[in-house]
Amino acid sequence: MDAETVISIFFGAVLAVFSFAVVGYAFVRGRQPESESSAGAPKTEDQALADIFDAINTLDLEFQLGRLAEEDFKTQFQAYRVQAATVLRDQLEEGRGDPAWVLEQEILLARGDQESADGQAVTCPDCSAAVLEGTPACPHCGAEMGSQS
Amino acid sequence: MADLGAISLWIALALAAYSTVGSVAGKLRLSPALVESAQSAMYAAGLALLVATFSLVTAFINRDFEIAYVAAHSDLAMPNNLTWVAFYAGNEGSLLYISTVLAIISAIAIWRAPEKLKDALPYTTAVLMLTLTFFLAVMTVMANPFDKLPFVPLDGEGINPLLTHLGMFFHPPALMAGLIGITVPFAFATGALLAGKTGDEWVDAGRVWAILSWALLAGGLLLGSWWAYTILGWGGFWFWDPVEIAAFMPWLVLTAFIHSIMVQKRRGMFRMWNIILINVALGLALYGMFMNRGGSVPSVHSFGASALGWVFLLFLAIGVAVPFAIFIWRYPLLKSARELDSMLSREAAFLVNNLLLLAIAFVSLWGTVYPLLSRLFADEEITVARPFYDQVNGPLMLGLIFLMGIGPLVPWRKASLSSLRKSLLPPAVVGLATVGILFSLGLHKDYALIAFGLSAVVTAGILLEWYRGTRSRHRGTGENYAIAFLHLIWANRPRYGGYIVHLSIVMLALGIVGTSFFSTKLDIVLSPGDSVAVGDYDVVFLGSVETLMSNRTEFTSTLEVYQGGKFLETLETTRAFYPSFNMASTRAAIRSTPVEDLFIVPSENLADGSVGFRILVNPLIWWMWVAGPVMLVGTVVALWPQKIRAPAPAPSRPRFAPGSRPSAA
Repeated sequence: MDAETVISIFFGAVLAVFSFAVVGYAFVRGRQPESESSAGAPKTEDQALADIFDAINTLDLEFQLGRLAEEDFKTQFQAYRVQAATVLRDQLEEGRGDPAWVLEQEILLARGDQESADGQAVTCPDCSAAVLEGTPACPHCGAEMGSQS
Repeated sequence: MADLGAISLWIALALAAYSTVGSVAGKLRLSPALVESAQSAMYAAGLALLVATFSLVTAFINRDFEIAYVAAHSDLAMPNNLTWVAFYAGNEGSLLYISTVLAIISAIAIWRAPEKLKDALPYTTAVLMLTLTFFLAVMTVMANPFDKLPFVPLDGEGINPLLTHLGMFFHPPALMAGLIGITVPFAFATGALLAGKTGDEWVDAGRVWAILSWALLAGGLLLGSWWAYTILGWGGFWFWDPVEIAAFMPWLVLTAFIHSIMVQKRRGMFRMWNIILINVALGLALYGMFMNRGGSVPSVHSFGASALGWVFLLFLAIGVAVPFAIFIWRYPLLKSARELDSMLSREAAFLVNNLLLLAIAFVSLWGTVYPLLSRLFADEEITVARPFYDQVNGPLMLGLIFLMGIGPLVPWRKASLSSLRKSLLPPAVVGLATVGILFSLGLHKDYALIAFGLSAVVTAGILLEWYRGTRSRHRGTGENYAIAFLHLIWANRPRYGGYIVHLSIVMLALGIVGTSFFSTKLDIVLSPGDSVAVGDYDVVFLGSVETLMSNRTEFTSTLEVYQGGKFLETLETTRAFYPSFNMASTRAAIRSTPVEDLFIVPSENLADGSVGFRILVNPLIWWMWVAGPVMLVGTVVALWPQKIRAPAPAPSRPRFAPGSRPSAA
């Protein structure tokens, strides 16, 4: 047996032992408390919110580009807000996250719903997204709408 | 190093098999420790395969001809930078490459999987590791790259000369990685189905990995075309070769998938359809691997007569039957959240686009299986050649370009006729004007006119939308137009990344139409000092020089190119003969401009010093090669992670983004 074969077998054995240790480690270490599943749920909800907000961004862009009538835009915009508010309310009811923060978001959404009922679209001074008149902050970039009308 | 490589392969096989069984058993027996252990085994299998890869690379660098694979695919004259090509030049090495890629992307996919898929991950892991187990079992038992010769030869057989081209550094690995990469979105979909998660949980992960595979396949196909164009010596780039089609078909189905998955992500629709699409994509990828390894279709690309054909055919049968059985099992749960609101909507456009893409894929599939069926049932092999594909797929592709033009201009849910008219009118006018101008300039070929007109519609639609969006930002924020444009793209990355890819498809269409309809070809024998006119060019052959190299005889021909009497440049083209392979390889001389290529390739060097040349003028082909980088940029933009902003954040708080919400008190 030449030196190269011996070295190969040695490193092969090291790899085998290492693999065995990696595979066996899960059985010998103590189990983590089952907090992972409860931490997982909010992320799922976050993704649901993210998808709704993404849809609002696209809707908004299409309105700006003149592809949607204002009436259709308002209807769909409101429907998405309701969806987002529902997700936030579910979070609140399930007692996840920071209740004050969730409630605050929900109030803002609800206010947006009310204002959108008869508001006109204006342009955000920061990101130029279409925003319903009277909304205190741009739904997309967070900039204060100030005296824009 | 042969022993370390062989040991690593066996360890990887054991780990992959354990990971497959452990994942399912752990999930069914509700043993988190077993699931975690199986997942760790998957990571360890990746490490073992990296060791095996390192061993083979080292063997190549050391020219360890005791290893049969190294002796068959390298020699002492081979430069070390070709080790990468030699690594996957044969069946055994390419299997190791595929296994290593699969192990690495599986590890990354599971590690980065979204939390919402946690329940399904054991099944996803099992699907990935079952595939890896298959490849490793085939490799260790039937095609081991570390098998030794009974004696050590003084020199190896050398690398196939056709592979010593820059395109070969990326074309085969990109295609192989793209094909095997489809396993990842497929595994997410199947894992979710098995776990009973029949909603949209797998959509984000599936989309990202499908786009990555799609980009790899697109890049691989384009580089393969470039390779064929510059080295094969026939002046074309696409031959509808069965193995080219084998990579093209999954790419088409993935294209359909990455469009329709957006509908599921946004609207919760097409759930069943997307499962079917990813199953079909995987089936076609497995079919491609079968054709490459012992499939009965001869091709310039295949690994020759390999005994692995039946094994891969069996794997293909399982890979098609089992996923569809799972689909049928879960069918009652796969209800879409919503119905189609209107046929005048983005969703409907995506659906038609999907059907056209599938039609092209199945026409191409029919073309590859028809010779087999004819041999089986009619005792006579009838091959299907380029005219069939051109005649059937040509109109379908025009339909696709048409949809690419109007689809992005139609809003989601439903469009009113007036808004549709407003959106479509300007691009339609540009398209018609393009057709009119080209017609008046003397271009009277129907297909070409339609293709150029539709390309103009797509380009105008995209540019117009960018202009309007940029102008809107400029007016609203006072940003200059360049900054406003960049911000517009950045704020809508998935959408505008897709538009950039659409532009690259238009570039591809320009190249294909230009060369298919307006190419000029001349085959001629020239003696030194002779000149010939081709198109607007005058080509003067100065002479040819013969050089003896260690593994080949190289003939370098020098030509001068003139246009309208004005000297443009001197070009050199080579033809090399490799006696050990009894094979000639050519390097074309190409003068490339955005308008046209002048392409010169020697076909034969005669004893009296004269040379047979093929000279072509290929209009617009330059755009094909530019399309690749543009497509890459579009893909990167589309995949770049995006923080989604909340519709109504409190002004006093930082912006809401997923994952940034404060945790429970």
